[in-house]
Amino acid sequence: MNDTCCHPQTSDTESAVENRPLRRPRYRIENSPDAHTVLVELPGVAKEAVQLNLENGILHLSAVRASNPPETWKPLHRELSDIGYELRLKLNDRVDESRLTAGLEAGVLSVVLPVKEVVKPRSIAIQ
Amino acid sequence: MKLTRCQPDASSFYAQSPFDGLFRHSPAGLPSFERLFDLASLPGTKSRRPAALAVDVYEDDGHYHAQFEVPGVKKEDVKIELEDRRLAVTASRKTSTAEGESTIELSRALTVPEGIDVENISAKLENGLLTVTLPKAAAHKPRVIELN
Repeated sequence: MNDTCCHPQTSDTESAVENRPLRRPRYRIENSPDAHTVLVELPGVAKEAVQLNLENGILHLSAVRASNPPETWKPLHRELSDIGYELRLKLNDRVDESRLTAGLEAGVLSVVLPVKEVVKPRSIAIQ
Repeated sequence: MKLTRCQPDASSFYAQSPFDGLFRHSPAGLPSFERLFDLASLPGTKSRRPAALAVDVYEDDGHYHAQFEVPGVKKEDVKIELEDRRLAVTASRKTSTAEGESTIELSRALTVPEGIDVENISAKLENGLLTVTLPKAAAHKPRVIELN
């Protein structure tokens, strides 16, 4: 199984939500004969804050960090970023776009890209 | 999630007078962050720098809050230990792929300020964000002194 289910697309600056900058999240792809699963790390993001669109074969993910600390919390030291996430993946023809599913668990978004039945490997019995 | 409290030598916590706490947290004498929270990696993780957990530290009137990003980590795979004033957080992320199972361990240690109410440290894991809340001991909370 190859890794050609999708290709990252460089996002143009206009795509930033309300002029806020966005960053590309860490992600990895797991492959099985039936589907490719894109696992995107979105720590601090609640389900309601994720937007997932599919248009012209491009899967577009954007997410904002929902768990900003309360105003009474005074920052003493910051290493984490409040910047939201954006990822664009161009899907390969092998992907059955009509059957995409997605779920968010423990700050990881998983998008399942099923492989079209016609392109699945099959064994042919010899007569 | 496992919160292990190692009972520290009491003298290391309360050797100072309560007034030291007042001065340390007064606006005029606000210590720099480096002195307040000593940021350090676990000794064994120096060679695996990328696996160090990033941290945000906040303070409110009654608490310190340390936040760590741990996407994909389950509650039972987070270990939080406090020994003396050293808070160590270790998170293991287990992934199973066709090639087999793999575990990535992320960790971070902080030296927490004096005057923490160690019995009431709490932790919460939500949306891949771990928040450890360290209440200040009563003597270290800001107080208003009425003028006569």
